[in-house]
Amino acid sequence: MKKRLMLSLMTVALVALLASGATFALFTADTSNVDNTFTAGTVTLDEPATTLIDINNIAPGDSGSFTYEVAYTGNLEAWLGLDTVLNGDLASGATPLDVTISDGTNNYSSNASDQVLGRFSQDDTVSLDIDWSLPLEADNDYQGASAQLSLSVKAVQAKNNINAAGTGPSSW
Amino acid sequence: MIKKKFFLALAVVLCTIALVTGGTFALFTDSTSPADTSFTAGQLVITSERDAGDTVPGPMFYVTAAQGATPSGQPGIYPTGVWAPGDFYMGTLTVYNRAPSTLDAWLVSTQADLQSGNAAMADKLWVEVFHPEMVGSSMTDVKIAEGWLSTFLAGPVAFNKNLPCMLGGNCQLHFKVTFDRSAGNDLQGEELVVTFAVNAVQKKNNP
Repeated sequence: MKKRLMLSLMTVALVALLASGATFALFTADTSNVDNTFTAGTVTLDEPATTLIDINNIAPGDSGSFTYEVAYTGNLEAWLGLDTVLNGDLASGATPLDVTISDGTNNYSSNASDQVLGRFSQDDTVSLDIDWSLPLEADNDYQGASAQLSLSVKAVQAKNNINAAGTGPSSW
Repeated sequence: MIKKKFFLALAVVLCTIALVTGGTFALFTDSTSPADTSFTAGQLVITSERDAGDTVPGPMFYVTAAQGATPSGQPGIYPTGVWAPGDFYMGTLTVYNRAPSTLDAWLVSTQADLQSGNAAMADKLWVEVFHPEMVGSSMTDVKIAEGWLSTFLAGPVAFNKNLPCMLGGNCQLHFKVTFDRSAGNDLQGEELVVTFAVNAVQKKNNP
């Protein structure tokens, strides 16, 4: 009789606990692994990365040159690329201004984008020699004309970014 | 008849004398003292070390060898260097269940705690946790949890199955962290330092 009463009491208590949503506290423990450090690299160019050069008051047969240098300062290896735009009346027509761009090894167009200069590391410098000349055959149509050459060097990370040929980035 | 009366009287006299003198009756007795009974709860304790082929204390992920140095000054041998979008690295944590622990354990979840740095970076770091186990006849990394590091910073991320870590044994976990390719230039040069934690619960009475 007593046994039945105890059993009934225990059953009631258990049901009450379950009904009230009570949780059972179990023993727990944890372990930590500290000081996990994630540092992002940098892709940066020294100023000026873009330059605008005005070529004016020149006569047929004139020529000149200048050097454009940009330092790569990022701590990740990067592809450097060149975007150029040459416009103006002096740069068009039958005998336009002739502009050549070279890094001493490769020649680059004066009017193109995404031209690959190569793969650079921190503190490398890209140096471009720009030579220009107005043909002697340039006629009076060119009098008073002018041209502007825009040079822009850009950089993109080289890691995880290489084209199928291995010659440049898969994406700028 | 007279003899009987005599002995009876003698007994009464003897009893009376005993009572008067305060004598006691000694009966055979015996007793036992109940043995001391004590109740001691078990202890659940887990520890861990990074494992790059040799378990040592120290972070799983570090940029320079100096950052990965053990407390004894041994430099880390697998620094990640600075991270570029698209980079991923693996780290291994060996979890131990040994003295003073006295109970078998389930490993049930992992989480991260921010120590310092730019928390925005955590939205571009994808974390996957694997448990190496035999699948068929080869050892395979079975994924048990994944998510952005920011999710792990927000609270425990439960494993998709509890891992037994028996008393006296250990359990290995592989952490893979990927810097997402969509990480923008605003994260260039930024740093984030976190603690990874693994949580356990008793295995006894907890199937």
